[in-house]
Amino acid sequence: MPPTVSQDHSPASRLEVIAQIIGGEHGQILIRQKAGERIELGDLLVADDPTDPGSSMLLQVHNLRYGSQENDLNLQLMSGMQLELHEGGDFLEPQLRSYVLAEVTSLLVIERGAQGHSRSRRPKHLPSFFRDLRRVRPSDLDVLTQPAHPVFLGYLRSGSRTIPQVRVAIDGVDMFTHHVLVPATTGRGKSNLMKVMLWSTLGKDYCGLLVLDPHDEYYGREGHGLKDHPDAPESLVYYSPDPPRGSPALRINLRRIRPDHLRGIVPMTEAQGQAAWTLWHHHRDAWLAALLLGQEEEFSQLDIGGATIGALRRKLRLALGVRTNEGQVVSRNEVFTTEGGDSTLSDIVEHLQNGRKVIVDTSRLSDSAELLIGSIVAGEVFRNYQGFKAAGRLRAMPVISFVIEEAPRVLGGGSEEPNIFGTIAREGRKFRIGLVAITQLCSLIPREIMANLNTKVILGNEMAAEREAIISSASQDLTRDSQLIAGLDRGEAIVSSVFTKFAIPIQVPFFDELVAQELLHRPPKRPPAFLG
Amino acid sequence: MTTFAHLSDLHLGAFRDPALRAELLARFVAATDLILSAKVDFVIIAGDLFQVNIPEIATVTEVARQLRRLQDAKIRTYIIYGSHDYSPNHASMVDVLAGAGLYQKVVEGEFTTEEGGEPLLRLRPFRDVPTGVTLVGMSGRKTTLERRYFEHLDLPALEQLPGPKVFVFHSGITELRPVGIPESESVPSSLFPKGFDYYAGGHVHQRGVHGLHGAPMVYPGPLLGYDFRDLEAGALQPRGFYLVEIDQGRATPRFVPVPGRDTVVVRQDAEGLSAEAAAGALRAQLEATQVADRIVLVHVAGQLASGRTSDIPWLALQQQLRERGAFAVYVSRSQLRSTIVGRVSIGRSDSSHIEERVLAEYLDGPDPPAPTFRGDAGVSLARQLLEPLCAELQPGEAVAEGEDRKIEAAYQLLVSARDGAAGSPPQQRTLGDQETDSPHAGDEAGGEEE
Ligand SMILES: Nc1ncnc2c1ncn2[C@@H]1O[C@H](COP(=O)(O)OP(=O)(O)O)[C@@H](O)[C@H]1O
Ligand SMILES: [Mg+2]
Repeated sequence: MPPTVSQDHSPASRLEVIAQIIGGEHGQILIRQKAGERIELGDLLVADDPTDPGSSMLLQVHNLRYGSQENDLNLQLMSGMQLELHEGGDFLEPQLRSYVLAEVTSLLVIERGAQGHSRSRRPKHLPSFFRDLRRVRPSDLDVLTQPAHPVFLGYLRSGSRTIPQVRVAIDGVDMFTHHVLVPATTGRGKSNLMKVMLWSTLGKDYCGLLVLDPHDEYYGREGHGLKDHPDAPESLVYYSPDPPRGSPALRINLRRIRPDHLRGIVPMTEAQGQAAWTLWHHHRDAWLAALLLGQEEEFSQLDIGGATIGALRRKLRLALGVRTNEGQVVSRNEVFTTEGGDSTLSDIVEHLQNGRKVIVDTSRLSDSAELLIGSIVAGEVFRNYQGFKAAGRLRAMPVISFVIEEAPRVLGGGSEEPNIFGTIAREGRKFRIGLVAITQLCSLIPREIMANLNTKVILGNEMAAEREAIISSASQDLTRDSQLIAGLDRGEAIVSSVFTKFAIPIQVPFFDELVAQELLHRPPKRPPAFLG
Repeated sequence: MTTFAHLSDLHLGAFRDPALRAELLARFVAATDLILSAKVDFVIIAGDLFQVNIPEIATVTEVARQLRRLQDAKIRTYIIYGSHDYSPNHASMVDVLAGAGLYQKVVEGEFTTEEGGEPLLRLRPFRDVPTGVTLVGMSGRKTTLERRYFEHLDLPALEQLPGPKVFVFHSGITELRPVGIPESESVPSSLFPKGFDYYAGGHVHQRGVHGLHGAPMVYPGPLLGYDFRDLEAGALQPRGFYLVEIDQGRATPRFVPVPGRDTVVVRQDAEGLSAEAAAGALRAQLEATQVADRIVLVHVAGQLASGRTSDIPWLALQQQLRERGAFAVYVSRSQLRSTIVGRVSIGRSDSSHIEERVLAEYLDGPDPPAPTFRGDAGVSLARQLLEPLCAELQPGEAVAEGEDRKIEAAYQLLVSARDGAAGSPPQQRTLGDQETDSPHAGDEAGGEEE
């Protein structure tokens, strides 16, 4: 959807001017605020070039302080007179002598040709001295063109003002294959943002997305959710241990799990790993049942010690949520079972490869079980896509991305065994596979991986160490933005991406309102004829 | 206590070979005998009584006679239709027998739409008066088209029905299906009403007792089946039906095997053999096999190193088996390939090229159509439109349904063209274009040779 903005590209009128450039250096330009105006941190300002009508510069406010013509002693005296004697003091034209100064950085140079063509580039020059500044207009940002596969993130934001006419979107093919990071403290709107992002991918088959949903908050089992999208019936698949009507049950047959699937997910000692492989060797896809139900003698025949078996059993029972009873494997939540569930994992892979979005409700699963499901699917997709690439068919396939909450669980460096998600973060791009990593603690993600997450949608964060980790790996220089990030309110975000020309401040819409609007325009459904 | 028999997928009238056809009918007669001696209250046939909608009269006559035997013994027969025995566009024999009162079809329902709400499908409950058991049925359709009915089921209404109650259906269940059957051709368990005492399934030929919403869910499988794979499965596992006792809200199914002729399977891997060597190996195997009065299944697969598949003396081999007293012979060689594959490639581009030129000429003509159809984009749009508009009816789809689907697809194309959605149209996913919907996983059924 192209932004509907007015085509107003006229230079600033006197009335619009709110500040003027008075000094500084590249990256830290000093401006003086006009009396009566109120410039806020994060505000977007524009300096039009009076000598070149098509050219203007977009700037952002990073710091605010006072300036005055008087020395400090004088100012203190003036204040004393006002406070103690209730006199106005003897300032002549006080607004001329004391004022607010702001430090701004230049974000973008915009150039418009006669035919309305516009180009933008990174600023490399300083605007002239005493240049007037005005607030940004929606029409300034028509250089933010809509990409071929827009993933809508939010509206442009200047400070705390939303500019609803400018929709900020990044191309989904680019964005998903180059990985996304959504860092923020709890409650700042990570999940809301994900829902907004997913909403614009529904019904579009250029991308398949697997969302592991430990809070069961995306589908909208109760209340609004992605299920309310008009294309959800075709485009969205929801798996849950307790599915709502029409959705398949999340059921996975134990036969579908191989020992290598557990790598980096269920930590094992060397002896346990060997025992798993020995069982696999002898029982093939019945190895888990054999492990859980087997008798002492069978294991000793295979040279597996009782202690190893005991420990391995405990680990897997805990991870998979199963126990045994009268020679049967009993599943706590019917997810990992010995009956049915043969096709679930391959169905998920197929849905993704058909460009569908798959949400898996993992709210009742252990961490390991959730990651196990994710990693089996991711591993399968990865292998398939390697094959497609070798066969020259990769371009025809949708890009696929895996959305993971608390991403440091799988990307957290450390001494754990490598897992498929680390592989995807490092080399998934070659195969058009990506990650969307959601986290409160990106400082736990190795720098090398952080640098690979090429789009960062940064929400509020009051932890300095986290901001440091985000800023030091961002695609744009955000060194001056630490305070801005700390001060972001719920839903306010900064999009820093190799696919954006500058770090774009946005206001993420409230998902529930987005959906409520959509539902107003829903045509009634026509029942099919019943043939009996 | 109530006792009933649960059968499904009889496919009566299947097989071109009269011997196999007779064997199938004989097993149905045997099943009827067993049912009569078990003194059941009623019988449930969960779809696919016949192989096709209009079976040959001899088959119908015999089936009617058996149903009449049940009726004479005061045993009620309840039926739903399956994906084979009923055609929405043509007459179906199952309707005739229902009309004659030989059984009661337990599928009836209507859609209701409450103001601003979703359409709801209300299924009518049927009561077996002597026992007080309530039956609710949902027929199967080709390629599991019934899924869309399931999606609208008024579940609460069914769940509130007093027990004991039995839900009869003819569909695969998503979570229970083997790898290889498309998910779209199955119904997720979440679309089934909860709280029934027994779920009487059909369509799936793999016999099994499963659980659904805490009650037994059973697929009896066929008595013989209708293709090579069914016959082969029958060689490994006895075929039959289930006797179900419902006592105090607890249903207990018990499998009852139905006797029939033995089946023996001979497999020959011909990979890398000459046609002559393959024929020799096969002959040797057959000679070492007990065939008298048995159904002999012969499966030959692989790529021949030399010679053609037709160099193997199929007819002579079958003749010899018959002479040795084989009851029926069924050869599957669809996975056998000759080395010399002469492929004529007929360029599809030819017809599509012509299509394009005709369209271009017309759209460029003196009577210009709507702006959407002008220029190259217009030609391309027109060609895209041809595809859904010329699409064939899907198997089992009623004419009106097919029209709806075509119009919808064309409409979508026009809308996206109008909105200037750049790039290719979204890939249309169809339910599948198989000749028949196979209740099996994976590859095609074997060919039948006489
Ligand atoms: N853009 C927004 N506008 C209004 N409310 C929001 C917005 N984003 C989040 N919220 C609300 O804030 C709360 C926390 O948001 P959530 O997305 O769950 O945060 P997180 O996932 O970061 O913990 C929720 O109640 C959500 O509805
Ligand atoms: Mg959250």
